[in-house]
Amino acid sequence: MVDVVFLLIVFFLTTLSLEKLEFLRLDLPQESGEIGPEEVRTPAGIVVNITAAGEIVIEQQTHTLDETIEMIAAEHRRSADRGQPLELLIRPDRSGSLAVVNNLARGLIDRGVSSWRLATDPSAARSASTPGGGS
Amino acid sequence: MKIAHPRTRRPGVSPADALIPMIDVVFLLLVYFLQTHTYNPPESELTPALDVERVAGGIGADYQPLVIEVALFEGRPGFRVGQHVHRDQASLTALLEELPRQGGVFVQGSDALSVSWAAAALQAARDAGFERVTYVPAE
Repeated sequence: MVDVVFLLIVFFLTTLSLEKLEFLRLDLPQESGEIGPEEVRTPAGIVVNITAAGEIVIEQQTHTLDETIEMIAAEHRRSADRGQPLELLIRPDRSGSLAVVNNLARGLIDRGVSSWRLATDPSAARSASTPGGGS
Repeated sequence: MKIAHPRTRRPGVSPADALIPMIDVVFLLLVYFLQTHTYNPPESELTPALDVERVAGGIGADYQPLVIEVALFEGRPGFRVGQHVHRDQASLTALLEELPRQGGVFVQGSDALSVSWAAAALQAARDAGFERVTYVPAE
Protein backbone atom coordinates (compact mmCIF):
# COMPACT_ATOMS: atom_id res chain seq x y z
CA MET A 1 0.00 0.00 0.00
CA VAL A 2 2.91 2.30 0.78
CA ASP A 3 4.27 1.60 -2.68
CA VAL A 4 1.00 2.57 -4.29
CA VAL A 5 0.75 5.78 -2.28
CA PHE A 6 4.31 6.68 -3.20
CA LEU A 7 3.64 6.02 -6.87
CA LEU A 8 0.56 8.22 -6.72
CA ILE A 9 2.61 11.04 -5.16
CA VAL A 10 5.25 10.75 -7.89
CA PHE A 11 2.54 10.63 -10.56
CA PHE A 12 0.89 13.81 -9.36
CA LEU A 13 4.25 15.55 -9.03
CA THR A 14 5.05 14.58 -12.63
CA THR A 15 1.76 15.77 -14.07
CA LEU A 16 2.04 19.02 -12.10
CA SER A 17 5.45 19.83 -13.58
CA LEU A 18 4.24 19.03 -17.11
CA GLU A 19 1.35 21.41 -16.63
CA LYS A 20 3.80 24.19 -15.79
CA LEU A 21 5.70 23.56 -19.03
CA GLU A 22 2.61 24.04 -21.14
CA PHE A 23 2.91 27.09 -23.31
CA LEU A 24 0.86 30.19 -22.85
CA ARG A 25 -2.22 30.00 -25.02
CA LEU A 26 -2.43 32.96 -27.36
CA ASP A 27 -4.43 33.75 -30.44
CA LEU A 28 -1.45 34.03 -32.77
CA PRO A 29 -1.48 35.80 -36.15
CA GLN A 30 -3.23 33.51 -38.59
CA GLU A 31 -0.48 33.20 -41.17
CA SER A 32 1.21 30.22 -42.74
CA GLY A 33 4.70 31.33 -41.73
CA GLU A 34 7.81 30.37 -43.64
CA ILE A 35 8.29 26.72 -42.89
CA GLY A 36 5.99 23.79 -42.60
CA PRO A 37 5.37 22.07 -39.29
CA GLU A 38 6.99 18.90 -40.55
CA GLU A 39 10.36 20.56 -41.07
CA VAL A 40 13.06 20.71 -38.48
CA ARG A 41 13.44 24.08 -36.84
CA THR A 42 15.95 25.54 -34.48
CA PRO A 43 14.41 25.75 -31.03
CA ALA A 44 14.01 29.29 -29.84
CA GLY A 45 16.37 30.52 -27.14
CA ILE A 46 13.96 33.06 -25.69
CA VAL A 47 10.22 33.03 -26.19
CA VAL A 48 8.48 36.32 -25.53
CA ASN A 49 4.73 36.06 -25.20
CA ILE A 50 2.67 39.24 -25.61
CA THR A 51 -0.95 38.94 -24.54
CA ALA A 52 -3.88 40.80 -26.04
CA ALA A 53 -3.80 43.10 -23.03
CA GLY A 54 -0.17 43.97 -23.73
CA GLU A 55 1.40 41.96 -20.93
CA ILE A 56 4.81 40.49 -21.65
CA VAL A 57 5.21 36.94 -20.34
CA ILE A 58 8.45 34.98 -20.40
CA GLU A 59 8.54 31.51 -18.87
CA GLN A 60 5.26 32.05 -17.05
CA GLN A 61 6.51 35.28 -15.50
CA THR A 62 5.16 38.71 -16.35
CA HIS A 63 7.81 41.31 -17.06
CA THR A 64 7.87 45.00 -17.83
CA LEU A 65 9.07 46.19 -21.20
CA ASP A 66 12.37 47.42 -19.78
CA GLU A 67 12.99 44.17 -17.93
CA THR A 68 12.31 42.22 -21.09
CA ILE A 69 14.65 44.32 -23.20
CA GLU A 70 17.44 44.04 -20.63
CA MET A 71 16.91 40.29 -20.31
CA ILE A 72 17.08 39.77 -24.07
CA ALA A 73 20.07 42.10 -24.42
CA ALA A 74 21.94 40.15 -21.74
CA GLU A 75 21.17 36.86 -23.47
CA HIS A 76 22.19 38.43 -26.78
CA ARG A 77 25.58 39.30 -25.30
CA ARG A 78 26.04 35.80 -23.92
CA SER A 79 25.11 34.30 -27.29
CA ALA A 80 27.60 36.58 -29.03
CA ASP A 81 30.32 35.48 -26.62
CA ARG A 82 29.60 31.88 -27.56
CA GLY A 83 29.63 32.81 -31.24
CA GLN A 84 26.02 31.82 -31.72
CA PRO A 85 23.12 34.00 -32.85
CA LEU A 86 20.34 34.57 -30.38
CA GLU A 87 17.19 32.71 -31.32
CA LEU A 88 14.39 35.05 -30.32
CA LEU A 89 10.76 34.14 -30.89
CA ILE A 90 8.06 36.72 -30.30
CA ARG A 91 4.55 35.33 -29.81
CA PRO A 92 2.09 38.19 -29.89
CA ASP A 93 -1.66 37.83 -29.65
CA ARG A 94 -2.95 38.93 -33.01
CA SER A 95 -5.63 41.15 -31.52
CA GLY A 96 -3.12 42.98 -29.34
CA SER A 97 -1.86 46.44 -30.11
CA LEU A 98 1.16 46.71 -32.35
CA ALA A 99 2.44 49.42 -30.02
CA VAL A 100 3.86 46.85 -27.59
CA VAL A 101 5.68 45.02 -30.38
CA ASN A 102 6.95 48.33 -31.73
CA ASN A 103 8.26 49.43 -28.34
CA LEU A 104 9.97 46.08 -27.90
CA ALA A 105 11.47 46.27 -31.39
CA ARG A 106 12.79 49.79 -30.74
CA GLY A 107 14.48 48.66 -27.54
CA LEU A 108 15.99 45.61 -29.21
CA ILE A 109 17.30 47.62 -32.16
CA ASP A 110 18.96 50.06 -29.75
CA ARG A 111 20.75 47.13 -28.11
CA GLY A 112 21.90 45.52 -31.32
CA VAL A 113 19.44 42.63 -31.51
CA SER A 114 19.11 42.46 -35.26
CA SER A 115 16.75 39.58 -35.94
CA TRP A 116 13.84 37.77 -34.41
CA ARG A 117 10.98 35.55 -35.43
CA LEU A 118 7.31 36.24 -35.24
CA ALA A 119 5.21 33.25 -34.28
CA THR A 120 2.20 32.43 -36.40
CA ASP A 121 -0.61 29.89 -36.37
CA PRO A 122 -0.64 28.07 -39.71
CA SER A 123 -3.58 25.84 -38.80
CA ALA A 124 -5.80 28.87 -38.28
CA ALA A 125 -4.43 30.49 -41.45
CA ARG A 126 -5.96 27.76 -43.61
CA SER A 127 -9.46 28.36 -42.31
CA ALA A 128 -9.59 32.01 -41.38
CA SER A 129 -9.70 35.15 -43.46
CA THR A 130 -6.75 37.51 -43.36
CA PRO A 131 -6.89 41.19 -42.42
CA GLY A 132 -8.85 43.09 -44.98
CA GLY A 133 -10.87 40.10 -46.09
CA GLY A 134 -8.34 38.67 -48.50
CA SER A 135 -7.73 34.98 -49.05
CA MET B 1 36.78 -27.70 4.10
CA LYS B 2 33.69 -26.97 2.15
CA ILE B 3 31.51 -24.31 3.58
CA ALA B 4 27.94 -24.53 2.61
CA HIS B 5 26.07 -21.28 1.99
CA PRO B 6 22.63 -21.89 3.14
CA ARG B 7 20.00 -20.19 1.00
CA THR B 8 18.08 -17.84 3.16
CA ARG B 9 14.55 -17.63 2.06
CA ARG B 10 11.62 -16.82 4.17
CA PRO B 11 9.16 -19.57 4.30
CA GLY B 12 6.21 -19.03 2.03
CA VAL B 13 7.99 -16.54 -0.34
CA SER B 14 8.33 -17.83 -3.88
CA PRO B 15 11.02 -16.62 -6.36
CA ALA B 16 8.32 -14.77 -8.30
CA ASP B 17 7.31 -12.87 -5.18
CA ALA B 18 10.94 -11.85 -4.66
CA LEU B 19 10.90 -10.03 -8.01
CA ILE B 20 8.13 -7.66 -7.01
CA PRO B 21 10.32 -5.20 -5.02
CA MET B 22 12.79 -5.08 -7.91
CA ILE B 23 9.99 -4.28 -10.37
CA ASP B 24 8.82 -1.55 -8.01
CA VAL B 25 12.29 -0.04 -7.89
CA VAL B 26 12.70 -0.23 -11.68
CA PHE B 27 9.34 1.41 -12.18
CA LEU B 28 10.21 4.18 -9.70
CA LEU B 29 13.50 4.78 -11.52
CA LEU B 30 11.62 4.96 -14.81
CA VAL B 31 9.20 7.53 -13.41
CA TYR B 32 12.09 9.47 -11.87
CA PHE B 33 13.98 9.72 -15.18
CA LEU B 34 10.81 10.62 -17.03
CA GLN B 35 10.22 13.43 -14.59
CA THR B 36 13.74 14.79 -14.62
CA HIS B 37 14.01 14.60 -18.42
CA THR B 38 14.19 18.10 -19.82
CA TYR B 39 11.36 18.91 -22.14
CA ASN B 40 11.84 21.72 -24.59
CA PRO B 41 8.96 24.11 -24.17
CA PRO B 42 6.45 23.37 -26.92
CA GLU B 43 6.06 27.03 -27.76
CA SER B 44 9.63 27.21 -28.97
CA GLU B 45 9.34 24.26 -31.30
CA LEU B 46 5.85 23.97 -32.62
CA THR B 47 5.28 27.46 -33.90
CA PRO B 48 6.16 28.25 -37.49
CA ALA B 49 7.46 31.77 -37.64
CA LEU B 50 8.33 34.64 -39.88
CA ASP B 51 11.92 35.78 -39.83
CA VAL B 52 12.29 39.48 -39.27
CA GLU B 53 15.59 41.25 -39.66
CA ARG B 54 16.90 44.67 -38.91
CA VAL B 55 19.60 45.32 -41.52
CA ALA B 56 21.59 48.23 -42.81
CA GLY B 57 23.30 48.23 -46.17
CA GLY B 58 24.40 44.78 -47.24
CA ILE B 59 23.16 43.28 -50.45
CA GLY B 60 20.40 45.81 -50.74
CA ALA B 61 22.71 48.80 -50.78
CA ASP B 62 22.52 49.20 -54.57
CA TYR B 63 18.77 48.94 -54.66
CA GLN B 64 16.04 51.06 -53.24
CA PRO B 65 14.20 48.94 -50.68
CA LEU B 66 10.46 48.76 -50.86
CA VAL B 67 8.54 50.16 -47.94
CA ILE B 68 5.16 48.79 -46.90
CA GLU B 69 3.40 51.13 -44.54
CA VAL B 70 0.87 49.39 -42.33
CA ALA B 71 -1.35 52.11 -40.91
CA LEU B 72 -4.71 53.82 -40.97
CA PHE B 73 -5.43 55.46 -44.31
CA GLU B 74 -8.56 57.60 -44.42
CA GLY B 75 -9.56 56.07 -41.13
CA ARG B 76 -9.30 52.46 -42.30
CA PRO B 77 -6.40 50.03 -41.89
CA GLY B 78 -4.45 49.11 -44.97
CA PHE B 79 -1.08 48.60 -46.63
CA ARG B 80 0.53 51.41 -48.61
CA VAL B 81 3.28 50.78 -51.15
CA GLY B 82 4.29 54.01 -52.85
CA GLN B 83 1.07 55.77 -53.66
CA HIS B 84 -1.07 52.66 -53.73
CA VAL B 85 -3.14 51.64 -50.73
CA HIS B 86 -4.25 48.02 -50.47
CA ARG B 87 -6.93 46.92 -48.09
CA ASP B 88 -6.31 43.19 -48.14
CA GLN B 89 -3.36 40.83 -48.02
CA ALA B 90 -4.05 39.10 -51.33
CA SER B 91 -3.83 42.27 -53.41
CA LEU B 92 -0.68 43.31 -51.53
CA THR B 93 0.94 39.95 -52.31
CA ALA B 94 -0.04 40.27 -55.97
CA LEU B 95 1.54 43.71 -56.17
CA LEU B 96 4.76 42.62 -54.44
CA GLU B 97 5.16 39.70 -56.84
CA GLU B 98 5.47 42.20 -59.67
CA LEU B 99 8.20 44.24 -58.01
CA PRO B 100 11.98 43.67 -57.89
CA ARG B 101 13.11 41.76 -54.82
CA GLN B 102 16.81 42.53 -54.69
CA GLY B 103 16.57 45.44 -52.29
CA GLY B 104 14.38 43.65 -49.82
CA VAL B 105 11.35 45.13 -48.17
CA PHE B 106 10.71 47.19 -45.08
CA VAL B 107 7.46 46.74 -43.21
CA GLN B 108 6.61 49.76 -41.12
CA GLY B 109 3.88 49.12 -38.59
CA SER B 110 1.79 51.80 -36.92
CA ASP B 111 0.99 51.71 -33.21
CA ALA B 112 -2.65 52.30 -34.10
CA LEU B 113 -3.18 48.85 -35.60
CA SER B 114 -3.27 45.33 -34.24
CA VAL B 115 -0.51 42.74 -34.60
CA SER B 116 -2.42 40.81 -37.25
CA TRP B 117 -1.98 43.60 -39.81
CA ALA B 118 1.79 43.68 -39.44
CA ALA B 119 1.94 39.88 -39.60
CA ALA B 120 -0.15 39.97 -42.79
CA ALA B 121 2.29 42.39 -44.41
CA LEU B 122 5.27 40.25 -43.38
CA GLN B 123 3.57 37.15 -44.72
CA ALA B 124 2.71 38.89 -48.00
CA ALA B 125 6.35 39.86 -48.46
CA ARG B 126 7.48 36.29 -47.81
CA ASP B 127 4.82 34.85 -50.09
CA ALA B 128 5.94 37.22 -52.83
CA GLY B 129 9.44 35.80 -52.61
CA PHE B 130 11.31 38.46 -50.66
CA GLU B 131 14.16 36.94 -48.70
CA ARG B 132 15.13 40.03 -46.76
CA VAL B 133 12.19 41.33 -44.78
CA THR B 134 12.81 44.04 -42.22
CA TYR B 135 10.34 45.24 -39.66
CA VAL B 136 10.56 48.89 -38.70
CA PRO B 137 8.43 50.41 -35.95
CA ALA B 138 6.59 53.53 -37.03
CA GLU B 139 8.06 56.82 -35.87
